[in-house]
Amino acid sequence: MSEETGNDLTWVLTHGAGAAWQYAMAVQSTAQDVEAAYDDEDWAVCVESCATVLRAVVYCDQVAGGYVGPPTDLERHLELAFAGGDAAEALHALPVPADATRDDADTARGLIAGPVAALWSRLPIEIPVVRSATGYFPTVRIGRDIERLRAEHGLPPLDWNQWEF
Amino acid sequence: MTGKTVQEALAVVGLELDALLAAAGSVLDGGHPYLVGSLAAGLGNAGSDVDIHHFRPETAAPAPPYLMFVDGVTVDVEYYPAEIAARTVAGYAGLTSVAVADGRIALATPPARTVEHQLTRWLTALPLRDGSPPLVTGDDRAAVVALLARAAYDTLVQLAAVAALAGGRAGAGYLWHRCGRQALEVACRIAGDLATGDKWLPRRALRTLGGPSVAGAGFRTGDEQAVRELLAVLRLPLGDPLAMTVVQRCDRAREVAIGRTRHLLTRHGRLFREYPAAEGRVATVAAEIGAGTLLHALRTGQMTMRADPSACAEVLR
Repeated sequence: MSEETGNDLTWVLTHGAGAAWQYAMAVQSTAQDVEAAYDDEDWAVCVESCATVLRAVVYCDQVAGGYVGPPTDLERHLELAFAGGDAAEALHALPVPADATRDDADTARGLIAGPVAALWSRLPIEIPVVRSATGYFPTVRIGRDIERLRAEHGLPPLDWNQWEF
Repeated sequence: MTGKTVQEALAVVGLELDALLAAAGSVLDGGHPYLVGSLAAGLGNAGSDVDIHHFRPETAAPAPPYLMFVDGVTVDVEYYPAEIAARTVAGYAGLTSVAVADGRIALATPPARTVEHQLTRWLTALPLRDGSPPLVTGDDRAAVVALLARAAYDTLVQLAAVAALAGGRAGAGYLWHRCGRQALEVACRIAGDLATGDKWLPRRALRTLGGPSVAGAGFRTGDEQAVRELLAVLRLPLGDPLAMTVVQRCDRAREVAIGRTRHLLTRHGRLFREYPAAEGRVATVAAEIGAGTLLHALRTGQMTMRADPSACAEVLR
């Protein structure tokens, strides 16, 4: 969030809210998978889930930049291959999952921390983990408030399903 | 495939079947509800969601998921028309397929990704109630497995094509790495080990493809030679990917005029002032416009790639 200059309202309503939504849907929920796999001592799935987190971070950055719709698998992998940036670099540095150890899982968790925090700092609003018992209803309210601001701003209702990571 | 009972699958997330059915109440009334997804495929962990597909006579069209929480576990219920699985599968019965490794790959155009995911889930579904029949059986099951293997094979061919196009560029290693993973995916599907998404591939490769040496090799590929060696071990044929793929303008991209300048507007809401018009076999187009331009056009949704059915059939036969 840019607390010094404030966030541009038009950007928040057209792109920023979508990026925050995708952060909740794709990054946060997968970060929970990382911890569940770690608690299960399933190191391979933990490393794989870290990869999913990083792919989601790259996608959230695209959405924040105005990217519409989900990419095809080929578009996604070409983006990850050539986009650069901290999340893509961390993805390429992840340990091999197939025979991963606890140390590998620790390394992978360490690699996602920076890109996730950096993305979080760029998001204009906070949306709780949607797919949780405590996150669902607050999210409905946030969605309603965004729609109210969009209407005041002369924008049509947002298609919240347009991104789908 | 995994031999797990639905009770054993639910135990992974600490749920008992009776408790789930009681908590769901009328949501799961009537019809035939099935556990699908990673838990049903013998995968999953304590943090997994419980995914249920509920086939009901009164449902006219697939409905968006209904989200519930049972003892802290996220449960998704999707309603489907009663006969949709049988109807969908019937559409793929009798497809020609060829023997590859220890299974078969269909000589057919793969279904749309959403249908691919549905079929994957239905082939591994476990009924929540006694008396509900398996969703896909016998010859139909074999035909769909071959089709799903083909879908994965086409993705492999496309990934190999862009990796080859990338040449010595910095991203080439990542693309060859993805090829190695995709080869494991193809081999798992041929063997009937089905699941969606990346997350469970290491576990599937380990349990289905003969242990850590093959799986480890599959996740360590970073260049063409390593991928070719892996393909040889897995007994998967792959010719020249640049001759097995074709590209064209994305059918959801369109030209728009802004003043005297024409732009290409992609389905991702991006405008480009310079964009290629070539189409055809990838080897030819790359020679015409340059590999870098083609890769950029594919990355940004200006162009799309597909595996050429006749070229793939020639390699697979």
